[in-house]
Amino acid sequence: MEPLSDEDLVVRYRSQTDPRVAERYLNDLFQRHQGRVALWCLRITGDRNSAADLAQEVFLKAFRSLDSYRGDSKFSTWLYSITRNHCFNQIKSRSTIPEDLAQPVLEDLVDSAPGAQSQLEQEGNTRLIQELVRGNLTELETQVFTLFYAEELPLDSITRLLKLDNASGAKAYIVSAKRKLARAVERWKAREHRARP
Amino acid sequence: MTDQTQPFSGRSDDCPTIEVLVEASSNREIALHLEYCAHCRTELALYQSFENDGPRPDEAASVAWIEGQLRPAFPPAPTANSTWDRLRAWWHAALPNLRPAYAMGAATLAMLVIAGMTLRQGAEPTRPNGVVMRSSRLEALSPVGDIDQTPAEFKWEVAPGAATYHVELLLVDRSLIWSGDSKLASIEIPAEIRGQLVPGRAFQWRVAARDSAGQPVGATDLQTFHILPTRP
Repeated sequence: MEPLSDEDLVVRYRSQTDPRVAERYLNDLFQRHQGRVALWCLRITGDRNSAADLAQEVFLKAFRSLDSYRGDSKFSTWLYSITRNHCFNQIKSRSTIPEDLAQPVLEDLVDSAPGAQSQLEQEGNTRLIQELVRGNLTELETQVFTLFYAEELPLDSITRLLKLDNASGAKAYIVSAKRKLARAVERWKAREHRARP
Repeated sequence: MTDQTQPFSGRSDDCPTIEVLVEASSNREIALHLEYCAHCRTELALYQSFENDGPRPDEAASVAWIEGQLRPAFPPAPTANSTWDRLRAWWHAALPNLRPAYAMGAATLAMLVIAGMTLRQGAEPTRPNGVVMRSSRLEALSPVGDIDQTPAEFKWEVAPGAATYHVELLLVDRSLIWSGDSKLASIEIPAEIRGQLVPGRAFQWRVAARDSAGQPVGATDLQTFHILPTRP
């Protein structure tokens, strides 16, 4: 007999009036995803005790939010959102930025040319930066850069989440990305200067 | 940190949710967005890692350990469709480390012993006056669900015929934190135990009622409460 899909288990859990049977469906559902949630939490925290606490909180949150699952997407996608958001929020609250990286990313790079800031604003900071990132960084540098500066994750967590095997992990990618972006901004400023006599 | 990184905000208003992003292969608009948006490409890479990654060799033991911590909270519920199902559930619980063949042998032996005892004693345990005894469900009152403060006591409904109540407080992995006995339908939680009930975590508790002869007369389902984190 075909095993029930995740989505079928949710439907049966909701329609079951006997709480013991309903609990069985829920247990089956959560057990299927224990491994991936455990792995994700381990990569976020780096230690198994904290990861076990985090995974427990994720499942508790999922249980409490189950009413919000409408079945429009896969259950695992829905669970991923809960796992990702909860883990990111928890780890961000414990995160400190290394001093040597605690420098403005681009605002200090785009400062000297007259009108540069206003030009930046006119064109949209986000759009310009996205273009600089897209045009100058490797995909892995982009992911590290995004997780570090946009999501504010600790370097250790990024290293584990992205399975980086180099000695200094995510930090090397940040250093490299900043260097490339600095050069890209200089080129952009030079172009701007030439365009405005 | 936020001020320093403000220029790189990552996610924009155009960014779809992960539920939409996963449709990129069949949606040209999303595919185009992905090509442009570093944030969404990163999100999608993380999601695919969540979906597809297994633990690496250096992670496998820790993941297994974490799963072991979670597993008692989500035990496979016995189907209880038949004696055999109940027996199988029992040997899973009682003999988790035995090889299945030995465990099934032990379970079969246990079944024979139990069957013999049942035949000798009758199908149901009875009181001296012949009234059939069955333990019944007991209603837990508090604490249950989300609560703002550390509870001072456990309360439940009175069970007819109960002389004593045994209360257990557990972590959600079912490890015992504390147990106590009461003759009333409530019990105070000792101060040193209350100190262990930290906000932001979930705990479970249950009560078993016994009559004056020590026979079970009722029990609550396992109750879960969660002390909401204190706001700064």
